[in-house]
Amino acid sequence: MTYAIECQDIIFKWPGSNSPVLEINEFNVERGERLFLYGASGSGKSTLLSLITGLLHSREGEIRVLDKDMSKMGDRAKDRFRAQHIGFVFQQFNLIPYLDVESNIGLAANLAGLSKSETKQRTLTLLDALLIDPRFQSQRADKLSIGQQQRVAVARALINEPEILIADEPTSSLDEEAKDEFIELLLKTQQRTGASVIFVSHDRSLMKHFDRTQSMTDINRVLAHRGSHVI
Amino acid sequence: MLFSIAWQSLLNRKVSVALTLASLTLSVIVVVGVEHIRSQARASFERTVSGVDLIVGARTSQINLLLYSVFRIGNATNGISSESYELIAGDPRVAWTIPLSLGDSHRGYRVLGTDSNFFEHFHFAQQNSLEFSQGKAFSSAFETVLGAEVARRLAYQLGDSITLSHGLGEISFSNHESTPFTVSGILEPTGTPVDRTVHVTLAGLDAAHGLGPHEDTHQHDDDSGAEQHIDSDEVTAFMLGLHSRMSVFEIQRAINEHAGEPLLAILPGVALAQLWEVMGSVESILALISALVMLASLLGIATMLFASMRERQREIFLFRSVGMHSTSIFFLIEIEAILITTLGIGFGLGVVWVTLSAGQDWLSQEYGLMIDTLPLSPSITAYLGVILIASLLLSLLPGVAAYRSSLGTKLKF
Ligand SMILES: Nc1ncnc2c1ncn2[C@@H]1O[C@H](COP(=O)(O)OP(=O)(O)OP(=O)(O)O)[C@@H](O)[C@H]1O
Ligand SMILES: [Mg+2]
Repeated sequence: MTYAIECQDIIFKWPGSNSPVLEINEFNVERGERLFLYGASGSGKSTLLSLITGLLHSREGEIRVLDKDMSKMGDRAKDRFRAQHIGFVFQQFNLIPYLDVESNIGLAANLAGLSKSETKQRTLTLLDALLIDPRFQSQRADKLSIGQQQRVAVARALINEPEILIADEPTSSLDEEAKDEFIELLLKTQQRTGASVIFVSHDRSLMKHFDRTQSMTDINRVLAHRGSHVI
Repeated sequence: MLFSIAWQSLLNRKVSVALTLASLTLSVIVVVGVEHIRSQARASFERTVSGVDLIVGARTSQINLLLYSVFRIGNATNGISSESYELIAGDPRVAWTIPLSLGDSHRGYRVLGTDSNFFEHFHFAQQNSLEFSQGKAFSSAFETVLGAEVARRLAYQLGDSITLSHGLGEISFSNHESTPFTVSGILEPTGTPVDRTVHVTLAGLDAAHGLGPHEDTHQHDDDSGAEQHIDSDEVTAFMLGLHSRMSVFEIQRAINEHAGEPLLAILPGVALAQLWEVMGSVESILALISALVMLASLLGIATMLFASMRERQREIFLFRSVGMHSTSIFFLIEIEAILITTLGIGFGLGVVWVTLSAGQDWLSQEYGLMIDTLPLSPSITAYLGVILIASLLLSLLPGVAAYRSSLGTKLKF
């Protein structure tokens, strides 16, 4: 089995801090795998995702994404790589509020070098799959409901058909029924490209949707040193 | 793509952007307006007289003599006796003279008593001679030649009859009604005070004052003007041209040391430069003020962009997460600054252009300023370039702030 993400012996400290927030011996995600990652607030979930996606840089250890060594990539190459191969959905405020839906999605496509016509076509397909009326395309992002915004964010994350989809607590701004519905839509849409999914949440009731579940306390040794007590 | 994002982002902050833009537009108006009027005034000013080697009048200041003889502003305190005039005019080095007799007016326009040498030898701008749009120079004592503006504003045509008023008020107590002048010619516009002058013969002027060939019972009212009345055996001043410019200083000295009466001879170019220098300090104060006004607006742009950084942390994070490079974030801010600055410059130029187009007639009538309405001289273009660059430099502050907050360790999840 080939891995989408391989992390080895990572130690990460924030600048100006002596103690690391992450110490990970090994953390892998298979291609096409849907992983549910949970852990207490401050356990380093978002930090880990930033390392994997090249927004942060770790001095120690090795992170390979799609067989590319992130530490060997230049800044521009990392940005380009992220644009082409990784899609993000965050907790909320996923979209640039003053751009319309089409431009929000188009921006991600443009940065990945996707052609205009291809972008248009994929946008329509995705919006359809995510149950968003295509007329919303010319709507400013901040005029949409939170649920609609989250679904547009999924469309944006998948427009470049990335191999990796990162979802950092995308459901915490949604109400109970909407949560399951959203996850089902997300996973159904993801299935079409077979992207690996890392889904972060501390709501463990959602883990039933995923292939595998991973607790931060099991991989981040910093947490083990400190015991369960997290600030 | 960055342009369109920057544009949308500005539209999203309409109010603060509009206020910043308004302030910048006003500054551009001040900078461009001041510079344009200054350069136009100077150009208009410098073209008032050329081809005249010396101007001679009773002793006074250089500037005063220049003002009344060329600009028809102010009054002579004394005249030149005809003996002195003829003596100097008869000097073999002197090629020609133009007598100038001032002190009367016609419906608010100054009257200049002179002779046909005026039309032959007076030049303006780059050695342009006076041209007639209609008619010709006066050939008899009671003919008059009108400046372009006089004819246009008062709707005079060839053959019309006009009378002079003693003194300079628009409504004068004493009119020389018994001695009407017939319009024999109308001059082409020159953009100089000539346009606002009524030219008559010296003989006709004397007659109007009751001193010439016509017997006249008319009494002069000597209280009507502060200026001393010029008698027929005097001229107010005269211009002269030399056979050889080499002798100009020699003659100037001779006239200034003239034994008969105290006279002053000036070189028009030197006097013009001196007069402009008087206005020079006003000029540099204006330039300084407009530079400061502009700086304040540019700081306003930087402040506005800087203040927006706080609410844009999330936006920056999103841009980065979809693969935008940190330098693009920096450029985004710079582009916003350029957009505002360019718009401000455009609006400012537009307002100046519209205002000048509307005020063109008024300026030429009130001040004799012939102006270009398009304020795009090389110096103004250079100023606008400096404004753009200054705006870019000042926006480095918010730009760098944006860049820094787009780096990984500064990103807020
Ligand atoms: N930009 C930053 N600079 C310095 N320290 C940071 C920064 N971001 C996060 N941290 C610290 O790193 C640690 C891990 O934070 P992280 O955001 O990864 O946690 P998390 O598991 O995502 O928490 P949550 O569930 O609340 O999102 C925390 O102690 C936090 O204070
Ligand atoms: Mg987090």
